Amino acid sequence: MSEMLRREIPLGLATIIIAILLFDHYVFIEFTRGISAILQDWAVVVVATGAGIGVINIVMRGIGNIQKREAYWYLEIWQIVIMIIVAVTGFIGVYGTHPTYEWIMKNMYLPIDSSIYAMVMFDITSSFYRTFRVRSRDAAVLFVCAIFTMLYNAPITGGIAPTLLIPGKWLLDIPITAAARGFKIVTALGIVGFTIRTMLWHEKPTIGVVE
Amino acid sequence: MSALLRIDRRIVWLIILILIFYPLIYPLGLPIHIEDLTRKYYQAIEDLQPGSLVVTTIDIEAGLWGEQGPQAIATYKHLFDKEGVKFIQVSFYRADCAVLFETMVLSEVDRTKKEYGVEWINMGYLEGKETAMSAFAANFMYPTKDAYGTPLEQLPLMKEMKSMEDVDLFITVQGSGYIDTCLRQLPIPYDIPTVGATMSMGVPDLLTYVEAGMVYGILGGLSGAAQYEYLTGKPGLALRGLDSLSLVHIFLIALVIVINIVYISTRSSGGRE
Amino acid sequence: MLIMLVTIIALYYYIGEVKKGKEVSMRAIPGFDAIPEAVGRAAELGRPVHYTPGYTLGGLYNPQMGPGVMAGLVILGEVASYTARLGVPIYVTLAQPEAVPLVEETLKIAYRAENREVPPNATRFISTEQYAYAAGVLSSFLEERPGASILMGFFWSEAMQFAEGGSYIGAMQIGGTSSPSQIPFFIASCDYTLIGEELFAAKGYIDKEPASLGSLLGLDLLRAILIGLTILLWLSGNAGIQGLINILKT
Repeated sequence: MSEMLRREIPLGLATIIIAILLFDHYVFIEFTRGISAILQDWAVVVVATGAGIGVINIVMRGIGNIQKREAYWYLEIWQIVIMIIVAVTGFIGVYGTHPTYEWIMKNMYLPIDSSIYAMVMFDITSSFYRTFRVRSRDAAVLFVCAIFTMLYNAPITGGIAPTLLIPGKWLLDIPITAAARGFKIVTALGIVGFTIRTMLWHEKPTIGVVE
Repeated sequence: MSALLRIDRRIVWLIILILIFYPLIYPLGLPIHIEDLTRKYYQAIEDLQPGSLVVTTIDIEAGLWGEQGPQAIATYKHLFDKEGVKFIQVSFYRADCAVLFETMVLSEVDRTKKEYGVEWINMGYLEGKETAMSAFAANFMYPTKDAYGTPLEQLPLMKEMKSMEDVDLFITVQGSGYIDTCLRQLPIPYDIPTVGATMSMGVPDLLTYVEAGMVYGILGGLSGAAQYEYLTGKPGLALRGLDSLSLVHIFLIALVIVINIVYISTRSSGGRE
Repeated sequence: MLIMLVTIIALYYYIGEVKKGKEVSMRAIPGFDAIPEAVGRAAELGRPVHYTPGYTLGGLYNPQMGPGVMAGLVILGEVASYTARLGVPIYVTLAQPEAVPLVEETLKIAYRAENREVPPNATRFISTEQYAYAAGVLSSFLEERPGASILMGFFWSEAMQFAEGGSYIGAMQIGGTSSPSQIPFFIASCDYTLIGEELFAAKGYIDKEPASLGSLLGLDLLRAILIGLTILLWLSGNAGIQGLINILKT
């Protein structure tokens, strides 16, 4: 029975749910539309419940690190304290309207989030001048394309030398757009194949069934 | 010269930081070029007649505010300035997108120009991603209440705007993650003209829709926002940041060209990299 | 719907053919071939292996990003079996709390097969917030100094940060994502990169099971049909024949 609970039941459930959602996507029948809506609502609930698992994981790991006095153990205390404050203030009243919650979001979360995103600049620049070296013919082509693309993206280029925009615009309109389209199509095909394999019980690890 | 090939990345970062901060403090007023797609984005909103009905979505997370915040602010300023144009604002991506709209966008626009409930409604964040988008597109009463808890049947605008079929223009300010989903569920099934503002990285994604005639105008990143601010005549943070953007681009282009010249000459003279 | 039905039929057909003994040749995917090398390098250095399946909005439920992360979790099984075999510690950083039990189960089974215990703190949920997750992973790089960093799943701008961060600490990196905007960053900074659909072909490539290989053949057929259809549409569009285009629009 425990084997069935671990394997057949989750796989069977996955197959039924995928089949219903696929059918509903293509064929409009009120009955299946209702079931599909309920299933998707339940998916949202499951994902939200998963947040509880995440909190448990963080707290247990944090407590373990604090007890063993691992490196930066005091930051674990701070993490747990701030998690509790944000959770409690977020729940008070209409979601996200408590003054403390708003203050934390506007004055702590937003600047920190933006700062970490801004750090991508450092990574991109160091990678950029390290990567674009003309080591081969292909690298030379890549280098030339990169220069024209950057000239197109630089706001000043249009103001002082509009002719330099033409190669960059052609690159963006033709090869880059074509590649983006092709990429989307093949990725979608990969997802379709992956989903169908899951439905046919050929991708068991996605359900947590590992053999 | 070959020392350039092993330049410490921190020196490059320092130069970039100087190039970013200097024009913010001492604006250089470098020339600006208005792209076609930015002009079309501006024109799509400018051409709205009194009585036009618009749906806007703002789905950018906090980390992207630096790049896309000016786009959002400029767009909503323009909308609030358009007399007689009515709009519904909604977010589907995450709850903090709606919080950003409340705290960062609404504090910058002149809210006295439009009467709430009659000329504009804020639906806030709707949970459910694609399901919510699809349900909302079919019936604007789906959320039952607006972002402030007011029942939708009490708001006069809801008598005019019932579903996407009533909409004249769809405007989306998105990170690059949700563009496909948003377009697929909201404007495309109803054939609604669309303009989109996104990160510079997301422009190729939106371009595929421009080629297909589904999207008419694009604002790409900070540069797009600056051009839009110039067109609306309301300079903001984006225009101020444009000089920094230009200088950093030119510096990096020059750096990589010089490094490659040194690299090729070092290699051809038998030196080591 | 027609394309979906054709796909399902093609998959069934080719799975049957491969089970009957049809030979399938696949081109080499260096990214997968390098996984044992990466784990071996970490073993030599005495450092752990880092693995992350990436970031999604709304968890695994996200229709666009979820499959990429799920594919990453499939590949984790293979990576975990190598680390278990060599006795190399592995730690998995997650941005999806609902993936925690999946990862724990995967690691438990891989390590149990080699009569080893799962390393402590191997499953680490960081945060559902993108940049909090990025900051958590980067700080783990500085603390743990992994010898190999395997990034397989769906990524956003944190891809660049992970790739450069791994490069900074000298880790061997294998990156794979179905996110088109992040591929260039992985190519620039990782030692090996998997592009788009290669991520979803993992199981077939690694375990060579008939079902997995057959499904890849079925998708190849679908790809050929789509290429043919594209060329046909382009020719008919240029010739001014709108009939086929109108049929496909409905």
